[in-house]
Amino acid sequence: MNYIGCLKNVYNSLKGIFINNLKKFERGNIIMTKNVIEIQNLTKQYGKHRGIDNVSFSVEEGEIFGFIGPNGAGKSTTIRTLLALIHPTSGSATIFGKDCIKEAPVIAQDIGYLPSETFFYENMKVQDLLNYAAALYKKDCSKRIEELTFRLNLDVTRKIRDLSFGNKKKVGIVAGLLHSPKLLMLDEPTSGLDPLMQQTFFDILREENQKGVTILFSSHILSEVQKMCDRIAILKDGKVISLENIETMRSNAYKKIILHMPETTELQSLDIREVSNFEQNGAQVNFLFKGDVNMLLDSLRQHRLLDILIEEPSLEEIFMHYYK
Amino acid sequence: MGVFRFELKQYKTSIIIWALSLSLAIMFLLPMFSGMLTEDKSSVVSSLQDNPMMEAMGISAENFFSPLGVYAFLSSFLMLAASIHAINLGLSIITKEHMQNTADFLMTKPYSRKQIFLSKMAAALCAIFIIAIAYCIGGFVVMFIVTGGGFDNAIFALLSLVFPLLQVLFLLIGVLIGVIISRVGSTLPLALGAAFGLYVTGLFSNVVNSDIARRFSPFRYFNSNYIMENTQYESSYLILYIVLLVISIAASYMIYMKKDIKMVL
Repeated sequence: MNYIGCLKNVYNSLKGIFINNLKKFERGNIIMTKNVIEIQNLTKQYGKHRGIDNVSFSVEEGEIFGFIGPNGAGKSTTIRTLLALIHPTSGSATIFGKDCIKEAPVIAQDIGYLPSETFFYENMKVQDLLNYAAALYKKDCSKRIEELTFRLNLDVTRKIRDLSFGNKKKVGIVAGLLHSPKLLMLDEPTSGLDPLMQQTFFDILREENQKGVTILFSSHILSEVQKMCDRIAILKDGKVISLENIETMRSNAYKKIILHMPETTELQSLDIREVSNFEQNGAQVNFLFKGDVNMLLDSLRQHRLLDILIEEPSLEEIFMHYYK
Repeated sequence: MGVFRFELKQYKTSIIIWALSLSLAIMFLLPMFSGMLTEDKSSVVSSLQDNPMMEAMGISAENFFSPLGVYAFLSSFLMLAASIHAINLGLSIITKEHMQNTADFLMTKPYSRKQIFLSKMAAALCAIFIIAIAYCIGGFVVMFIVTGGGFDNAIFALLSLVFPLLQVLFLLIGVLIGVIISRVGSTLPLALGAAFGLYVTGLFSNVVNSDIARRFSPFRYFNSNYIMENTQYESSYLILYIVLLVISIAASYMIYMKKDIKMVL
């Protein structure tokens, strides 16, 4: 009897240790999966063309992450690889901690995707298409569809074929949002929408974000990224060339400096390494400056100036600098 | 509504039209041709004995002048139409997502590619079988009317089964072409070309009596003379048929799983 009691005690204490460790492990996992998207050295080559090259970054839960670059920089390729529409040549990516290729169907349940150009079955009515999309998610989304189509002012009785580009985009927005996804991937989402609709769309996105939805937002329009995003990755020729917090990017980095000279003195590029985008138009000189301001002032003291203007550069100007 | 039901719904009208027109065709054509049977046929048979036309069609004169022979002959003609439909269906069910650019929509849903592929295959096979069943019922009814029930059921069943068997193979050929090319501007010309090409190869194989050429034309795998004389299929060609079937479905599946969905341009 005593032996059995002893064994029971040992069993119970072992069980306690096991359960405690399991809980710790689970907590650890929650911290680990705080990143909704993790991309590691993702590379995709299309024959001779370069798609993306060694792209690595991660998107945290609940943030709006901007993804910016000119056409052909690899924004869509990255998003399409994350969605398992194309297979990476090398590297890997996880979404919600799951491999984005192997577990694509599971992940897809919680992803809303809005492609840059939306295409649907042309001979279907909007209502039927949205119902079909909902059926593919195996969810009843009728309320959500009603709400979104009302807000976007979309007529669901019309055939897709008869819709304008902007209206097709609206169908895409509703189709991407109807299943209340936890992660939204938007590939140049505003093209084709008029400014009023863009506003409504951004309002919807902000509401979703407040509910905890993570948003990956690709665009080549800086002002909308500036308006929406917390952090951005800048892409160029298939590579991430910079990954920055949008605040630090704007404040910490560059100053835009405009000098007015008394006469057209030829001011050759100031002999400081930190000066960029130097431009002289007669009596006016514009440039961007990043670094120790005292150095700049010392070097400016050698010139006679009428006026000096120091301001925050727009994101566009910073952006142009990255693309030089 | 899953992918399977959605696909069937999209092809609903085309399935109905094909099923109706093929079964009506056999029901109208068979009595017309078998009308010739009532006359004294020995002279016609002997006159047709060495006719190259009959050779090309791969049917002997004696067999031709029996209701089952007429059924086999007409089936081989109507098979050409059914094969065009089957190749076109296989091509379009795969390539339409790429041509309409709806692949993005479908592939980003919580459906694996495997599920999508199998659902599409199931829908296409379903369409094929509806048409085949309609055709065979039409054939059976008209045979019954013409002969008053006096025909060999086993041979009739074997001859009729050739129809869905070939349809399935042509469907899979269409699917295979579809997964390889994937962006086909218009599927019908391609389907017509493929079907006629294979058909002409079959005619050619009969004329020159070449077994090598015959292997390249599924239309000639199930020879109706052989079926009517032996009440079975030629086993070597049946094996070839099964091998082709397995290869084309396996290859299509593997290519489909790996294929990148091209960017919309």
